[in-house]
Amino acid sequence: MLVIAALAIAACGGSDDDSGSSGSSGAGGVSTGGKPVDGQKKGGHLTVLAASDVDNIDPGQAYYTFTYEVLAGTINTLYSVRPDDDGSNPVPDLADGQPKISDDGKTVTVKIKTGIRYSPPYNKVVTSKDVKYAIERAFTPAVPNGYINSYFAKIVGVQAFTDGKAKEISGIDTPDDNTIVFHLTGGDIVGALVMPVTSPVPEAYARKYDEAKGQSTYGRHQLATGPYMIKSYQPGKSIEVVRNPNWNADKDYKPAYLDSVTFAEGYEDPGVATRRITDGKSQASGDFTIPPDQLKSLAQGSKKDQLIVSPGAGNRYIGVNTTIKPWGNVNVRRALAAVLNRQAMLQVRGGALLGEVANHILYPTVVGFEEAGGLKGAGQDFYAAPQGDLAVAQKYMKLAGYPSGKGSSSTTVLIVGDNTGPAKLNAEIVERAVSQLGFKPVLREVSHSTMISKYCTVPKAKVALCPNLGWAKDFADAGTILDPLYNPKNIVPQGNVVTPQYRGSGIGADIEKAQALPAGKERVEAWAAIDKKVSDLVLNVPYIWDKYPVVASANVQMVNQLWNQGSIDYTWSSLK
Amino acid sequence: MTAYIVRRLAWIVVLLALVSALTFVVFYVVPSTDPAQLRAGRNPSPDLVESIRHTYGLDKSKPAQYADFLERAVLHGDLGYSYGHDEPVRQLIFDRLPATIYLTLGAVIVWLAVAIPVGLISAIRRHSIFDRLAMGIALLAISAPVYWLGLVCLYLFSKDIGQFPIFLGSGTYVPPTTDFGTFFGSMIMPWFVLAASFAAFYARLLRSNVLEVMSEDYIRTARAKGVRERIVIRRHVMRSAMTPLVTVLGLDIGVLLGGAILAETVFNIPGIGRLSYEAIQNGDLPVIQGTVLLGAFFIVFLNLVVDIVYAYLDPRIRYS
Repeated sequence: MLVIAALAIAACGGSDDDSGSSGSSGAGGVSTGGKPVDGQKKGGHLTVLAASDVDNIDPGQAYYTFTYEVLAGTINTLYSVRPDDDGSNPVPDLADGQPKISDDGKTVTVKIKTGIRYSPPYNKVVTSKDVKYAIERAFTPAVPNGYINSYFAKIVGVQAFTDGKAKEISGIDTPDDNTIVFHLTGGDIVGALVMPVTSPVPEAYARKYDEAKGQSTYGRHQLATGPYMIKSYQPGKSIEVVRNPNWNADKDYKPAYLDSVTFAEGYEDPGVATRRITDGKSQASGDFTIPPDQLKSLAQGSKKDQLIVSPGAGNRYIGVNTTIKPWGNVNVRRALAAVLNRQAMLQVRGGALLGEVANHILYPTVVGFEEAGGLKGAGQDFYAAPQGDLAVAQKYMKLAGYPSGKGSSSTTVLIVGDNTGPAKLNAEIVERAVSQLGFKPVLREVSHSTMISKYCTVPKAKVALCPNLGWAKDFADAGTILDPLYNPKNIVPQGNVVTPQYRGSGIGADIEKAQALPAGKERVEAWAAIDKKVSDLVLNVPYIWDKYPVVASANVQMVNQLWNQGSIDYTWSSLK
Repeated sequence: MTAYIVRRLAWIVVLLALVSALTFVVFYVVPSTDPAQLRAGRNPSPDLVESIRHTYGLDKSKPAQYADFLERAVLHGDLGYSYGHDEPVRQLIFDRLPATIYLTLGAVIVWLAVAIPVGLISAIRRHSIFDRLAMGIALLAISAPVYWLGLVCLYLFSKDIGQFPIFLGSGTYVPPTTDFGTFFGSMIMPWFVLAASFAAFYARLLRSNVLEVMSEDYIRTARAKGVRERIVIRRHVMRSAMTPLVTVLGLDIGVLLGGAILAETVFNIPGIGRLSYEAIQNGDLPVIQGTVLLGAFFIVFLNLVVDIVYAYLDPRIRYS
């Protein structure tokens, strides 16, 4: 679930409604979850309109919500998540039953289903060795993978493999064709077994593509094990998926009602695309965010049943660099959190339909959110007023050593934000908040990719505040948010997402301890405590918990992936 | 003439080399993004970023990178590899170019078919109601941005979201070889929208050229000799008045073939313009460089074509 803000960060969300209807009704009558219903019709073709292309069609490289949406029907990961689940209850997919975890938590054994076949032209049966190869190839330069080191590096023997000292990862055993065993140095790997990298890739077929000059070209020739296979992929134009003739419905829990799906790309104007979907037939939205004015009119009009808004689509925060004065002072950071008009930050993005005012980093639907304070947060006064409270801000400025309650105008604060859309407005609201604290803001507005790759993830760029950052979970574990964003060991010269670069208060040790815990209540509470700590220290300033809207034509029984930021799940959707 | 053409072709090569050097400096020496980091995605390990940098040759010195690019481009016609699409840039360009050519040629036909008669009649019937009306509309058309006009047309006339559903809308483009009827139907609105401001500009340009030429002595002479007005207009006025139009036309076609970004984006036509737009959004430097070079090639090449056409339109022009 690649993406740092601006792109529609969206994620999983749950609804309390399990009535089996097409979704529950949230505030304002907007449906908050498209669930499977009884008697869905089989057959037909769906067109999903999207603005952008997938990041990489190779399951070993894919790391973007829209790509996951496409691959959901073509691959079988060891475990996956049912569409109406927020990600916290993975079910066996390629795996045959729950994983067996040893008492010390360091050995995880997974049985895989027998008789699963690859799509043409390979047609052979999937074995556990294919899963091993899929993971190993993601550690090679030919298959750049953004998360493999975060979640799979704790497998024994990874270091030797990546250093070229071993031909395979010694900590992955395949005692027979239907068993794979992971030997770990510690921590938990089970949650990550839902990631696309655990879908099988047969070495005998893929090796020639993985050894192509430069990066692997396997993605363009990939095999499917799921109900669908990729018939054609035209980068930036379209992706067509059709039924996989080798798919065995008895071995898969996905119903796969539709006969085929086209992902039509290049719909850069979300207004036109939204209108086309809602007025047309057999269409649904892909990766674009519905414009706020259309969203409002859809939510209040006769087509509100065609709209689903999923909570838990990620968070948005101001990245605060604590190595730059005066942001090393916790009370100055608290003053910023207090004075920031988070309500306005939300309003310019579309208001309550598209999110909630945030008061800590973990967001709704993430395991640990409730333990960290839930919607109310931990009760700090500097998060108490969504519209901002200058008096509270001044109190903290005084505590920070500014007797007048205002900072010095000779202190310049470099802010780097986006130069278009609501993100630009967010940056300007932050600029105003810095002014209110008495400092002199210097706002540099650049394109989103420039903001990310040249400024906000490059420590030597010395940016004080980055108002357009955000994060979304990779799977249900809160560690997929808190570890990358706050663990000091992740501070790197480039591609650095530990924006605060903060090494104090034992944050690193806390995170390492939480990472070492096996799945369970203790682990959840450990992450919740870390969330409270980083939110109290205002290592970043959270301002929105995102929701994500999707629309479909009236004749589409829309089911969406709550675990995948609310995207349409075409393996469960159908035509009416 | 042949020597002139050969000389100009040689200059085209020099110009393209200069353009490639300039784009290399702009996008590689002082880049606005780090492609390796963008390609690596969220939370990459430093090793991953470095391996991608190595894969794309971005870890070499800048002169070495440029030398590599020139060698590949000149010797193998290889414009590099798209970071975003995982495909050779040359293949992407070849894949997208036909749509841009169809869009451009169709729009050119539309705007010339509108501009020439309107400009001519407006000039001949100067200050008439037709002239005032046509020039007023032309002013409006010039002022209407393609993106805005495209959206208005979609909301009014497209079959999927329009109030008066007549034409195929956004995203309906198919190659003519696949289904000519659908292709033609899907291109009608883009052709007219793209042609609108050009037609207006050309009509105004032609009108002023015709008025200027009609006041020339040789026109008065022709009329005094008793040549019929229709022949005066066709043989003498139009021939002279069209020459500046040809210059502008050559440049405009060159620019549009380099990518009609707005029209392609609003109508979701998978051409060079949309490819450039996506590349800029994603920091896909090889694609940006490839499309810039393509645009530059079309502009300088069509300039040459214009100069050659000049010689035929104006017998006074001789190249040596």
